[in-house]
Amino acid sequence: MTVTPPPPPPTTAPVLSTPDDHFFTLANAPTNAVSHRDLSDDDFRTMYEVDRTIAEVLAGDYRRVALQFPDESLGDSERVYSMVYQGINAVPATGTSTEEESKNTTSGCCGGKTSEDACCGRTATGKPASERKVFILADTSYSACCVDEIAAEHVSAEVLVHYGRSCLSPTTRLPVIYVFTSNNLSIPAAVEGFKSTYPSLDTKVLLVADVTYASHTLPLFAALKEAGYTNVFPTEIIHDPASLLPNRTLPVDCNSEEALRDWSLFHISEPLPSLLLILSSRVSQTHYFDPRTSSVKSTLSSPLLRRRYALLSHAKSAGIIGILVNTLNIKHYLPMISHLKSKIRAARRKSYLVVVGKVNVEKVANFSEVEVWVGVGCWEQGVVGGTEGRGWYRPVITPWELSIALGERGWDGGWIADFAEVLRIGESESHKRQQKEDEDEVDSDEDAPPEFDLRTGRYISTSRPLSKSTSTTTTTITTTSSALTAPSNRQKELIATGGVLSPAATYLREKRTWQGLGSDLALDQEQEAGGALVEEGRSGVARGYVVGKEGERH
Amino acid sequence: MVNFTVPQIRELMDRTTNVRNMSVIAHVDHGKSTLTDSLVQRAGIISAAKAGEARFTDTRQDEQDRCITIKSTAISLYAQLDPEDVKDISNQKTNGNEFLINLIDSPGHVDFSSEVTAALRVTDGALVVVDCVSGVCVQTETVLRQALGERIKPVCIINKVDRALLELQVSKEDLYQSFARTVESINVIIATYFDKALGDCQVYPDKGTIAFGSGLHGWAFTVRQFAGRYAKKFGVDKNKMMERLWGDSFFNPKTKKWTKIEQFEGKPLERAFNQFILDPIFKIFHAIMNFKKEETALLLTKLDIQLKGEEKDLEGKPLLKIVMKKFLPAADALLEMICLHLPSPVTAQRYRAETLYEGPIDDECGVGIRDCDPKAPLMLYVSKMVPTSDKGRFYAFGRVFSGTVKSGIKVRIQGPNYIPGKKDDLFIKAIQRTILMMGRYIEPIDDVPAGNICGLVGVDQFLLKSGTLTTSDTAHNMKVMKFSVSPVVQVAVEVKNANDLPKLVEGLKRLSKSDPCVLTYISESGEHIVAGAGELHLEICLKDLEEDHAGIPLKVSPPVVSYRESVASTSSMTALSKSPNKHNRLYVSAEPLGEEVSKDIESGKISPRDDFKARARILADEHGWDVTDARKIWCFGPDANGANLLVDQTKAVQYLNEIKDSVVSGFQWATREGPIAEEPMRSVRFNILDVTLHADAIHRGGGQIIPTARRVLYASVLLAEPALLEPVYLVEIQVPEQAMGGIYGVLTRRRGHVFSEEQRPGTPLFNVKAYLPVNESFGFTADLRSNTGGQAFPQSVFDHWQVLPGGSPIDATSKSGQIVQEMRKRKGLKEQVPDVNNYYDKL
Repeated sequence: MTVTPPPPPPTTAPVLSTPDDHFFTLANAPTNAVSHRDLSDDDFRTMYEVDRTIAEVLAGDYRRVALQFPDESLGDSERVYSMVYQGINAVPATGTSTEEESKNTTSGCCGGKTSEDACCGRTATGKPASERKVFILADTSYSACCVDEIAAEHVSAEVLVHYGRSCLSPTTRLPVIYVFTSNNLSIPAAVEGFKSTYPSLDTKVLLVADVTYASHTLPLFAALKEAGYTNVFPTEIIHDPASLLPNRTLPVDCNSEEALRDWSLFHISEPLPSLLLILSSRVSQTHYFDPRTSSVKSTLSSPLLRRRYALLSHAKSAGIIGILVNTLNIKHYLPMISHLKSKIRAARRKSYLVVVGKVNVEKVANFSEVEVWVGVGCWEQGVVGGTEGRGWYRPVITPWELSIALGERGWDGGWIADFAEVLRIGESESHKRQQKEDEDEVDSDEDAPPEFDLRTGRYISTSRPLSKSTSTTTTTITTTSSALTAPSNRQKELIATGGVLSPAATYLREKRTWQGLGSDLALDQEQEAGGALVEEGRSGVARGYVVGKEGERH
Repeated sequence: MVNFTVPQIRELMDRTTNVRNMSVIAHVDHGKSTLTDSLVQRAGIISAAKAGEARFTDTRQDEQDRCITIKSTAISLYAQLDPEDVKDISNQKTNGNEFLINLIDSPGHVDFSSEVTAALRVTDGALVVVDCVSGVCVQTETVLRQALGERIKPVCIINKVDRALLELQVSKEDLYQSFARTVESINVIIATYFDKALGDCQVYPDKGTIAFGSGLHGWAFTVRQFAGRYAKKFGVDKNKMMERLWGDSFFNPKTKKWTKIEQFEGKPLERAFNQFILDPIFKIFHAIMNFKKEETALLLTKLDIQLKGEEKDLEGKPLLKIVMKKFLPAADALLEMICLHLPSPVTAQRYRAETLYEGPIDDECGVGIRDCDPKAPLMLYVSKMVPTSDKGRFYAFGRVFSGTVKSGIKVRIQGPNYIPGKKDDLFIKAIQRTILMMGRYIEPIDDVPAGNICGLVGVDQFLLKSGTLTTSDTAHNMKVMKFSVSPVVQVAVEVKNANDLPKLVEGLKRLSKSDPCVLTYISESGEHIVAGAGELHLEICLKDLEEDHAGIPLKVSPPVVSYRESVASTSSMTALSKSPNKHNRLYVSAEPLGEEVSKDIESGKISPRDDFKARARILADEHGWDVTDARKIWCFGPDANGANLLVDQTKAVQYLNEIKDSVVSGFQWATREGPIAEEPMRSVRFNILDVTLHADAIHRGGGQIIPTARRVLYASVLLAEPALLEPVYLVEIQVPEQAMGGIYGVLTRRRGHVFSEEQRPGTPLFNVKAYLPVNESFGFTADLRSNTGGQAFPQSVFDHWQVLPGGSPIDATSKSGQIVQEMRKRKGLKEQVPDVNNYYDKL
């Protein structure tokens, strides 16, 4: 066997700092930013419903108003701001021309380069008490569809105006004015699309529009009625994500799921994945009209649902489940988190609560010991990573899906996103389960049976790292045959950190080859037979080092 | 009536030298189960009248209906041998003339050969059944090879001799020649797989290791038996007589001398085998079948056969059966062969231990296995799970190789992925009960010592298909069984009624347990997949699933094939991907791993568990790898043991060890779901050429590296002429010459091609071997039968992977591109394969 010569000394200095050519670039700048600068003032006012906003602010007599914009319409924020500001301050006419605004950026480095930078100069304090103040909130921490109450609280806003698409999730702290910023829709094209989809005039169709197209529902309905359709129902927006049709009214005669199943659904603009999943089991079929191409497409939700099913199957055998916080405002999110924690604990698995700000693949993949994530977010954005769930190192599932995976309920083809609903079902079933659990106490000396992981078709022994708390008395096993002395309890094998059993620490110890600096030295030496000899380097203080023995100073 | 009791059997278990564990193996339809009946009948479990028709070991209704064995079935039998015969057991010790035979009847169809593997593992000897008319067939060879690979000693019986006599009306000499040819072909196979440790296993009629008979009629004989009869008459030694009764040996009635020359004074002599053995049999057949009553009566008195009451009134075939059964009972011949020539566990485990045990042979368990010591630590291998009458519960069926298993003791249950010292796949549990498997019944038993086969109650929840049970906490695993078939045909099953889903999930788990080979899982696209070795296997599995395991109506998709993603050349340029923060770069190129290396990995010759230096040696010496590269294999994948390799070719990269785990995670992820259609990758070697990393540990964490590693691997595959591999069956077809034309037509239409065609000597039958893509094999058997007038019998077994012809899979217009698109559609993916630019980053 030949001994390979040691590698030649590196010709360049080792890279100890980031090279100069590495720049921080904005990874995901909003690409679909639309500006409405060329709109006339009147159109602009209608679009952003400035007059209604002013009226409502005045009616509520709010002194401090926060305007929350999604990233793509930040370009319009300044114009809206000045209109609203002037509108609400015009009436008392204490007429100061000083503008006050504050841009709230929750995370420093990205999103900050957009155009509103120019207009958010901070001005002096000490305004007259009667002046109503307006603030622009941008770069929403979690998802733009949700109301960012935390940011609003930073500026002690009394009311928040939310622009753009909204999930209408119930909030707890602030009154909210929703402005959906209507988009254009060609009614004739939509009617054409509708006709081609439903040739029969008496088809039962629910007409649903995305909130940004909601204003067109009634005109479209009227046009359809004219065309002879008799069974079309135009839905209206209500604030109830738990409704059978999330946030929409239902026809009077169908309050049950069965009744709704007779209806088809015609959606204006492409529905979000989560909406699609919810609808898939509730209406007979879903078509959507794409306003950009003026074409009607049908959606196949069953492959989507199946993919979700595959994702949640991951959780069945996961021993470590991460709870990924994706909201800080939605009503019920705190009860939801504690509910999840207790459920996961009851299933004898370990949960870790993780808040990473805006969720993305890299942040989440940093926790490689977590086997499955459960995202706690608003219902629209609950489906993290799209319906396919591809591209995520570990799948992110919703609380409802987790409850299926943990065996609390069966997968019946339906899909629920609303927390209140999940919590309600969770409460009623936990009681039943409690009783059942008491029955299947097992002998603590013996291991619980492993979980069959259908994802791989194998048995997984690590799916329940936290088995039942065991008695401290170790029963001595007296068998005639040899050394069966190892206590069976898996917990003994877990590493306790700070008195808490930690499957994650076990993971780091057992699954990782890299265990910190120096752990790879042994490996290197084994391969290179010996390693380098220690030589005396230089010593002394910075003012002048001594090199070797010569006493030479540098 | 059953002529033995459980205490009797229990007593025999302790006399390990008098135990014989054996399986009955053969080609499909050669009469294993029928033959087994005669042994079962001898033990008194079924009546003599039923033997040969009951097929007692075919316990399932569908086995009875289809006349095919599906599951292997074990039965323990008690046998007594003539004390005179016992003296002839020369090469091993015995104790008394009572024997315990643990017999396993196995299926013959190739789709169920995993059952054979499981049966062979727990036995030491095999009874190979060969049809006298069709001779040595494909599956005969396969099972023999498997048996010899497990170091299992064969004895042989040539079955269905009655057919040769009644249907073909062959002459004595022709029959002898046919016997001789069959014996020769068997010996050729045995010689091919010669194993020094096992010694010479060839079978010889004149040594009594081959019997001839008819399972259906319940008679069989060995040369030894006749030698015993004539030895007294001629007054010569029995062993000498045996030699004279087979081969070119003649008795000259005139000179009353034995000779080797077949002519005397110009007249041909009759062969001793024909004269002394076949002649009486032919005479009986002739007399009875031609209804010659007087002649029959004469023969019966001559042979000392007594007929009772109504038996005297019989004639024709029924009479023939009775007479032959009394003249040459099959059980006698078989028992004699089994007890005399098959090894006892004590003998067998001495040479089998090293192939059975993964750990060092000189540790306490290794020694226990070698010595078959009932007082050593328990080592029990569970080879399969047998469904109980209680739905969803199973008996763990296995063999005690060392120690004693009793009800109530706590054992360590080590699954196939257990590594000594680690806690994965290890459970501790008490055995509730030990039982004796008696075909369709079970008998409780207190304990079972080393060398015996038994069933266990109460450990089924811890074992999926197989595993090692031990009481020693230093024990390694028993070697995992290697199956000769792989699950390449799959279907997606769906419930008809959504509320039944939990039942389906539970049913899939049970199905997975109940069959050694079937695979059940949920695919990434959310389909419930059942994968089996072939169409018949799947059909049986789905039937079981629907009727027993899940018990719900199911929708089943048409069968599909699972593909593998691979590359056809080296990446056209080095693939580069940057991490999301742009601070880390990975440079990787992909290249084909080579079929030999892939096969070695799949067969376990090169495995991730090996010492890296030993592994590097094999790779360098046999596959021409660079030694430095071979030593720097980071991992195998998917599942850390697949046939894809990740090789570190970087030079002096700082912090490389730190990101190794992340890159490996990305590699496992990428090889599990390839870029083309989310199918697993196979036979790809990835070389990491260079890595640039951010100096700050926080910027090169798993979150940055894992997704990047996956992307760069995808990019490198897409740059290296990606290809789709499809599984290919090796089909062996037995067909008469005139029907050959039909075969070629069918094969060509299905993209198959013939590569070997041999005539079986002495018959008009041809053995045709061909390769046939699994994808084209659905309905092949029926198609072949209809094109050859039902004369061709194919046996298909997975052989290798081949590149799917018809252009690049990423080109949507090519044929393979269309297959990819269809697959992606089925899986709910975007139909177009993502372009390389989705994964490749410009510098």
